[in-house]
Amino acid sequence: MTKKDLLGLRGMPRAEIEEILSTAASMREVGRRRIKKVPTLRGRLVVTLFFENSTRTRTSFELAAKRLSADTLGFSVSNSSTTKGESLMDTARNIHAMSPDAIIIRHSCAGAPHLLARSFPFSVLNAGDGINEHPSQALLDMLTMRDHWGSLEGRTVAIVGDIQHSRVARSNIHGLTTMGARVLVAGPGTMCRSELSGLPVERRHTIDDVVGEADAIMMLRIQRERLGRAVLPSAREYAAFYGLDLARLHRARPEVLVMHPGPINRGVEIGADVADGERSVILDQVTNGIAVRMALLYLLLGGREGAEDA
Amino acid sequence: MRDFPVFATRSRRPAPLGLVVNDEVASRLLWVPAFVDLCCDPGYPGFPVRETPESLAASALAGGFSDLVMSPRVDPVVDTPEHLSRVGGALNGVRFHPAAALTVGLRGDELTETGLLRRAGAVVLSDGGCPIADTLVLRNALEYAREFGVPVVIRPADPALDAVGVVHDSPLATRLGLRGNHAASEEIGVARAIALCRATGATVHLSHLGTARAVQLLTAARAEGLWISGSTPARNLILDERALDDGRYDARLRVHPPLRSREDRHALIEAVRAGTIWVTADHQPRAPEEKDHEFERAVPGSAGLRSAFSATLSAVGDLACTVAALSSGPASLFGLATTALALVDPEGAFEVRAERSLPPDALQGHPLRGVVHAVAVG
Repeated sequence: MTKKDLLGLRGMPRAEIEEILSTAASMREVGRRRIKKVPTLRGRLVVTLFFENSTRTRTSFELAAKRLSADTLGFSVSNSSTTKGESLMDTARNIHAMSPDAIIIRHSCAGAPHLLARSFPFSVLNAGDGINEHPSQALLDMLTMRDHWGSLEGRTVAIVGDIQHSRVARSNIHGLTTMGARVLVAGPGTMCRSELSGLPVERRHTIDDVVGEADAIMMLRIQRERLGRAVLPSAREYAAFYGLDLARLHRARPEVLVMHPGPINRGVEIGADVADGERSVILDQVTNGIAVRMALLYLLLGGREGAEDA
Repeated sequence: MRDFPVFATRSRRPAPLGLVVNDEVASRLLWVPAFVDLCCDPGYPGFPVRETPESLAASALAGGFSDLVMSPRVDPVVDTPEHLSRVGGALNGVRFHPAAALTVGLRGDELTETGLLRRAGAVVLSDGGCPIADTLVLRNALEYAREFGVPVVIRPADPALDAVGVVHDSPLATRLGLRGNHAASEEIGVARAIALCRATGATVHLSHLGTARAVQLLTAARAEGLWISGSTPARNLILDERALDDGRYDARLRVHPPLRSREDRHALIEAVRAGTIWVTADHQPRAPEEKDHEFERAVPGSAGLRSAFSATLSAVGDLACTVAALSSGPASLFGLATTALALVDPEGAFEVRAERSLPPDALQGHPLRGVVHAVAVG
């Protein structure tokens, strides 16, 4: 991969996605060793810059960097310090003065990583920008599916929930369709609006409209705190029409994969018995997350050169 | 190359402009009525980082404008006769005509002293781009303004829908992961303003039009004989939402209301050609540091005075239409008499360049046609 940055899966060529997934598959082996570390990125500095709270994505990236022997620096920016007046660009200028090789950024505004990527020489990895993209999450989802299916070509993936405001959904939609899969989406009208025609998806309504056709069902977390006024009547209404419970799972294909980017709301978008059931690959997703993020850092930071130096 | 023998307006003695052009350009130069902007929102006083009277006059003259109607949306809001002189006046031949706030503080609840403001020189009343939420207040404001014969400038929008989104709500917005501002907001605002214009008999001008349906509604209202007119920012004739499709999230393109669809843009061009709507520069300069942000966080607005003529001419393709939309139309709203002239080359290539000393313009980098060479003020 010759790119400097990972900004999103929109427009990313198939060969590049394949390269990332194959590299990630080989990175998994490191995590199975007794000493879970390789010297590939020794001496390189990876900074995590998270403007929104996140535990799992951040720790996953940090662990990935550590397994490649990179130095990591967590730059915590609470919402309060941005309201104190420092702009994103000024924060980035400060970090740039520390000579980082890569910045992993999560930010509430779409395009924030793009702004940094074109303004600074370091690599920028998008760990979620507003409602736009969350590419490493989609890549780990695709790696998980690939482990079960070999290829994504011709498969059908249903994504259920708040498609409109989900960066996980957007990145998955771009990535999955590039890899030849078909994507169905379902959710309440306020979360699955007709403007979704801008994305390569088939829009349905309730989970019953998609459950029987899918090879994988990806349930999105309902983030009520993020919603505007009058978007959703109640949690029980949501569970009744859009939640995945055991009865619905029985109507799905027997080999179906149940996925969730976490953290889950048990009993709302997904039943506890489904989340913990045999079709669930939710914890595989977590394991694959580290491998995918190792692959991304390795490919973007020119891991090959680093390895030769070592 | 030769000096172009230029003469100022009738009222003045001939004077050389100091303009040096080659014969080919000289053969294309034409004097046209200088332009009048209805919605100049330079942000001073109150925001010196954006513009000063000197830089504003320079931008106006560079763009062929001799008269600017100044938005009341400054700090503090121009809502009393005492405040009018802070924005009115003239500099280097450019006349700044004050618009007064339609409601106190532009808050949308109390009426301003329309009669006193009129007497002190306010040429129009304006909502300053802040839609009035309470329809009863808007109706009363129009009733009251009618009796003093003051035109009212309204940016049509539904206040609740207007507050949502940073780009046109569309499949493209969904693809970009940016929250959309729906065209229905403007349509509701236009329909409401037309109904109240009909109900009150006030003279209403709808600024910042951006949608095809707004044009349809306005066309029907004018055919009905209502005293209502409309205008669109010149950039809306060149740019539409597809300018954002490069995925750069370029904050220069962050304007409010947002750039709409291609179909909307075509409808606006047709409406200018037909004389249904006029054109404004929608000059809302922003300091570079106000744009050096994430798209959603950047302050909306763009400079417009230097590019308005070229953008309009390039889109409309006809000089007479362009001049009517930028000069005689807007001047007629408040009975402005002007003898100022602009010297233009309708064929010359023009491009707004990014300059650190000038506020960013959304049209930067777009090849346009039509160059303003000079303004002779009366």
